[in-house]
Parts: sequence; structure tokens; C-alpha cells
Amino acid sequence: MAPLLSVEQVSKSFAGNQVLKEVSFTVGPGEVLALVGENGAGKSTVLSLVTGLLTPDSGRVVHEGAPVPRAWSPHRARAAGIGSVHQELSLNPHQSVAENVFLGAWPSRRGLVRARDLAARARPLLERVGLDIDPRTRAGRLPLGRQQLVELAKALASEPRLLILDEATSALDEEQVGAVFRVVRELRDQGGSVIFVSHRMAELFAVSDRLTVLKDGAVTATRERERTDHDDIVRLMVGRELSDLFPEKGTGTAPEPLLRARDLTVPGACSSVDLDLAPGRVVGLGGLQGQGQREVLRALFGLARHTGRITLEGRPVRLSSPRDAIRHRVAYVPEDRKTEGVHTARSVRDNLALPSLRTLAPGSRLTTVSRTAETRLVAELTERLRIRAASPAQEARRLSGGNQQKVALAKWLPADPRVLLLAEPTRGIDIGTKREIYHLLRRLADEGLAVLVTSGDTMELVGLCDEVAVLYEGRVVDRLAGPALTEERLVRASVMGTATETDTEKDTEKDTEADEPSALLPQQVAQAIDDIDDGDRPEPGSVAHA
Amino acid sequence: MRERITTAARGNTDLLGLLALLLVLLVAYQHYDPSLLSPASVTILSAQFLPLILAAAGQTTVMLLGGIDLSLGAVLGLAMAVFATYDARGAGGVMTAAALALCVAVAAGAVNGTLVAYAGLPPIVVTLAASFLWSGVTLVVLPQPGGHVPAGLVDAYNNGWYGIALPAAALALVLAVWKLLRTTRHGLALYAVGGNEHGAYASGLHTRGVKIGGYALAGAFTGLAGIGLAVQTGSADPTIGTPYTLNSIAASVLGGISFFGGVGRMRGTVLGALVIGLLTNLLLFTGISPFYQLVIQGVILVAALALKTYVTREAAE
Repeated sequence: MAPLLSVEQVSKSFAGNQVLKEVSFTVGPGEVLALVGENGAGKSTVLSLVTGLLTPDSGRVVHEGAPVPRAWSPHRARAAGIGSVHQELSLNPHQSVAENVFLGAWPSRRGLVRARDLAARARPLLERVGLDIDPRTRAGRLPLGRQQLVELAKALASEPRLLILDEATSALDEEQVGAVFRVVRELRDQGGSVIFVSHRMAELFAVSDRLTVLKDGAVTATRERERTDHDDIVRLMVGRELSDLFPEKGTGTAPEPLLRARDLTVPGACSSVDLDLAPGRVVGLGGLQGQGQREVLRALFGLARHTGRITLEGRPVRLSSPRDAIRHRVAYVPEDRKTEGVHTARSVRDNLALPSLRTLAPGSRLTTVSRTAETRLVAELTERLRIRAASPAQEARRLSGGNQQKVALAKWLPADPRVLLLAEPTRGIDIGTKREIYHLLRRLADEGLAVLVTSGDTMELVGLCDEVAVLYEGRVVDRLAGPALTEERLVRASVMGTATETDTEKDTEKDTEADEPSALLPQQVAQAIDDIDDGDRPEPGSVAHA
Repeated sequence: MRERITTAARGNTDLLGLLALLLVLLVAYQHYDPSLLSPASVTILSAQFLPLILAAAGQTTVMLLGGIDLSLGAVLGLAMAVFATYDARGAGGVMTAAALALCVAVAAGAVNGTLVAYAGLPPIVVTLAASFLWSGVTLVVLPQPGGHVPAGLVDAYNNGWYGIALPAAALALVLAVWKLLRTTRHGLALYAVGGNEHGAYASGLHTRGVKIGGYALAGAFTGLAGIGLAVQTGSADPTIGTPYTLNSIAASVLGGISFFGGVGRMRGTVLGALVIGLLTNLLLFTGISPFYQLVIQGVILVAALALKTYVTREAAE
């Protein structure tokens, strides 16, 4: 049977960083295809090519037998019968549910869109996705899960023959996921096609006919559902060789913790997180994207309002603003370096000197900054971190991503930090610079810093960290250290949202025997699915549009 | 019925405070001018307020799209100048002059919109630059105050026409048109683009077209404001438009239009413009120094906005 959609050899780069390498897959009519892969494997990017949000650098997308035109756009894709629900919501929170469902294609009579008519037409669509709400409610008032279902109703409004669900179930509870599955099966039975992306393994197996696995922007395999299992898929998702990319890990037992966080809670992001950061140790925060990792770091740097007890060297401290944190010698290298990490329009010199202006302005000369001291400092940092800039006067935005990241990190070093927090330290950075940064972080740890890293890249966490705490919907569900810290266990804990061992060895830092079962027993899988469905989803309404 | 009233009240809670403020102002006004509610007073007041209300409607349209129009005053002046000079030359009837002025204003708005949509420039920069451009053009059209508006029209506008307050009628017409527009695809698209531009684009809306249309509509409102001002004063002044830029923003913000787009309603803006207009008049009555009038006006506006922000934030949490 001719495929409804075939993606042929598409490649895509962003700013020299190749995110898709000759990706190919097909979806036939009456078929549900699951796209699987780690964070950043390229799933969303390849789907954006299909929905017209992006255009490929090379390769082509063939829809219903004809290659899509150069000027492919969301508008045309929708008109051609491709409906999509993306990870990020595209609802307008200020308009009513009914207006959102028909966004851009409001049915009108003699040019007028009647609110009552709109609501009447929206109702059957809402019922189809299992929503019992007044279509005249403002979309922003609904809890996140229901908003996601409204997105689905919106995708169905154009009566698509191909439905793309990119993490469309991420905020849904069991019953709501069931409604989504019902829609998917209905569509399949009518000869339509569905591309389904989810981080929850159980969902993928429940609904898909075939699974295509992406890794680092390339397809590793496509499997029939009957001929594969969870372990097989996880192996295909990870399975990379760790070369000398990563430095030697710390040795010996963990020293006395420097920073201790207990019950750290950021409303709506993470709850009751316990963390111990010790000098010489690199601790990682793992898990799927957006499980609260970022907020933990922001809380520790005083950027996010939080509750809980934090002690530094045994003394309780309040970190209510970045100023507080800096005074306690905590440094933070944020995720988005272009807006928070470096001043892109300023020179490398200005960036590096900024946190140290106080020390560079000796009292005898009032508050003027000593240019010679500044030059010395900048030269020293540039040398120490091997920042490759044309000159210290070069604008930070003209540096490569890796060198920008080095600047964002280097500027804290003169303040002699004790705790270093890094969010996604190597995102969008080439492999060579990644290696340099890993070695640098280890060297800093060896010099006595306590380092905390978040990363969506499991290989990075496994290779770099001494210990990884896995977050799932704001809670630490597993802690892995020593031989237990493997990519497979990390990925499994991330997607299952439970500890990989069934017994209660969660909080031990000491490693248990690494005799983990090679395959999950059926009852364990069932257990894991139950756990997902029961308690680990966010409370509806906990996230709302402000 | 009762349910309907409560629903209506709930939908308008954000405006109740503004309405209360307006009532307070009206009562105070009544104290100074007991003839406030006589037909003659209503006519003259609506004649005086109409230009600001229309200008604020234009500003609101742009703000709903997530933009801001700093060239509004200049475009208003331009429309006024075109209207009065064209009529002075006697080349055509007053209707032709009005149509021409309106076309010029719509074109100016569309140019702003095109620059914002296609050049990807921030609206504040585009419209700031445009404000110099249109002021210059206005001075070319009309170097000094002058022009001509038929006396009959001026009289009918300011003193009523067979007992009908023309400005009030014009206002009702504009509100009705807006109400109608809101129920068309264009109106819904305006709110959709302002509320979540990326989402609207991803849903297949032609966001650039919507923006250009919105700015052009704002130009139409501004043009009407300019014509109204010319008819009210009986002549044109190339620089009289300037204060309308900031006053229109103040009225919109007071009326609950969000700076980030997508939130707010035209009736709020109308109330906001009425509050600003009444307040100015009221302070004039008090006879205190004009300098202090400005100070008091500023303080009241800041207080009203702060209170409103505080109340809505409480309600949201």
C-alpha cells in the first residue's frame, strides 16, 4: 500500500549544529507510527518539517504521493489534511474554547461568526476527546491537561487524514489518555494515520503499530510492535560508546556535604527534593525534559521562590535572591546562555569582568575599575578555560556556543565559588568543546567545588556525574551512583517515573550489587504502568496560564 | 434572566471599578455644572470627547495585536489637515474630503502594519519613526493652522442636528461596527494573533495579513478622529494631534487593554477615554492652576491603574 506520508532523507541544521541526519520513515494509511528517542534526538524537529513550521535543508517530505512544495506552511499542511498537537500549547488563553478549536478556520455565515453556532459545532468535537466543558469557557482557565485535549479537538476540527501527536499526553491523567487513545483508534479504523510521540513507553506500546527510534538526529531502527519490547527500544535509544569524552570520576567515599537541601519545593515545579552537594563531587539531575530540574537549580540560586531547608556547611541559609546566593559563593550557569548567561552585545572582556567589578575597583581609587587589574583577570581566565576569542574586545555574540558557555562559566571563577550550578551546560555545543567542558568541570570539582548539573542528555549525566538524582514530575524517583549509574537504568527511571529497583534502596548513596534484571518482568511493567497512572501526574490545575 | 444578569456582571467585573470612577466624576461634575444631563450639554460634551474616544479605539486595535502606535497623533493630524485643506480648495464636496482623509489615514496605518509584519521591526520603533514621517507630511499639506470646514457642519456637530447629538450617534455607530467586527473572522483573528502569535501561525492563520489589516483599521479609527476634531474646531492645526498619542494609550490601558496583546474590550477603552475627558474638564472647573491640574491628573491615573492592577492580580491568584 502506498504510504500516506514518507519522509525521505531529510537533514536539518541549526547554526552549524546538525540535528537531523538523513532521516527517513513512512506512515501508511490506517497505521499508527510511534517516534521514539531521547530528549534532543530530533523528534520534534522532524515533525515540524511535516507540519510546515520548518523547512528541511535537504531531502524531502512526500505527502499523498506528491512532494510537499517549497512554500509548505502550517496553513497549507492543515488544508492538506495534516492535523497536529505539539508539545507546546498553541492555544490563545484569552479566547474561548470554541474559538480556539476553530482557530484560523472559524465557520461563518454571511461573514459573521456566531458565538452560539461556534459553541454548538465545538461540542461534538469536545465530546469526541472526552471533554465535558462549556465551549464558551476561556481556554486559559482550564487546567493544563484539559487544554491539551482542547488542542486535540482543534486538530480534529480540520478532519485530518494524518494526525501528529507530539507529547500530546504529557499532562493528561489516565482517563484523558484513554480518550486520546480512543480518538487514535477511531482515526486508524477509518483509514487515517497517526504519528505518536510520547516519553511514556507504556503508551507507545499500547497504541502504536510500528516504532521508529531516533538517536542523535538519525533513525536507528524501525520495529513492528509485536517483534519488540521495552528493553529492545531502550537499547536502541541509548547504546553509545563512551570514549575518553569524559574524565575519570571522583574516587573514594563521599565527603561531608557542603550544601544540604531538604524538602526543597518550588510550587508547580518540584516538591520535597533532597540534595546533598559535596566538595569534589559532580551531582546530576536527570529525567525527561521539564520535570523540575531547572527550577531546583533556580531555587538554589535564589531565582525561584521556594520552601524547604537549605544548609551550607551546616549553617542554615536563606537564598531568596541571586545576591544572597552569590554572597554565599554559589554560582549559576543558566540554560539559556544568550539571555541569562552572557551579555551578548558586550565584549568578552566586559562579560568576564562583570561579577568581579567590586574587587577590580580598589578602595584607594574610589570606584573606578582598574584597567590593568581587569586586563590581568581577563587574560588569566581566557587562558585557564582556553576561551577562543579573536580578542578580549570581541562581542560575546560572535563567539561560538561553546566559547560563550565558557565565558558564562569563567566569569564566576574569580569570586571563588564553592557551589557551581549548571543547567544544560553543553546544549548546542560541538563534541570537542563538550569534552573540554567535562574535563573542566571535573577539574573544578577536584579543586574542591561542589558541582550540580542538569542535563537532558543521559550519556552526559552517566559519563560525567558521580551521582544522578532522577526527577519525574517534580519528585526524585531514583538516585543512581557507582555501577548502578548506567544509561539504561537512567532512561528507564526517567520514562517509568519509578526507581529501577523494586525494593526500597532509593536513598542509599552506596551502590548495591549491579545485578539488575536484564529484562523487566511482566508484573514489574504492569506495576510501573500503574504507578504512572496513579500518582505521578501533575495535579490538574497546578499549572495554569497567569 | 437573573442568571443572565449575573453572567453579564461577571464578564464585566474588570470594568465595574472604572464605571464607579466614572460615576464619581459625573457626580462631581454635576456639582459644578448642574446642566450636565441636559441635551445641549450631552451634545457638546460628546462632541468634545469623540476624537479622543476614536483615537483610543485606534490605539486599542493596535494594542490588541500586541503592538503600540506612537504615530497615532501624527496620523490624526494628517487626516485633519487633508480633510480641512481639501475642503478649503472647494474641489469637491465635504464627503469627498472626508473619504480622502480617511483613505490617507488607512494607508498610513497599513504602511505601519507592513513594516511591523514584514520587516520584523518592533512596533514601538516603527511607529516612532513613522510619527516623524507623518508629522512632516502634515506640515507639507498644511504649514500652519488653517483650512476650512463648512460652518453648517460645525454647527450641526457641536450643537445637534434636529435634536440629535451627532457625535454620540457616531460613537454608537462605531461601537456597533466594532461589535459586528468582533463576530467576523477578522475580529477573531485579531484577538488570536495578539493573544498567541506563534500559536496562531501554527494553526494556519495568515498572521502578517492580520497585522496589516489591524493597523489599517487603527488608521481608519484615527482618521475618523482627525475628521471629528476638524469638525469640532472648525479648522485644522498640524500639531494638535500630538497629545492624542499618549492620551489614547492612557485611555486604552485604563480600559483594561493589555500591553501584551489579546486582552481587553472596546467598551473598556470607551469608558477609559470618557474618564480622561471628564477628568480634564472637571479640573478646569476647579479653577486651580493648570500646572497642578496636570499633577492631579497624573496622580489619579497612576492611582487608578495601580489599584486596577492590584485588584486583577488578587483575582487571578
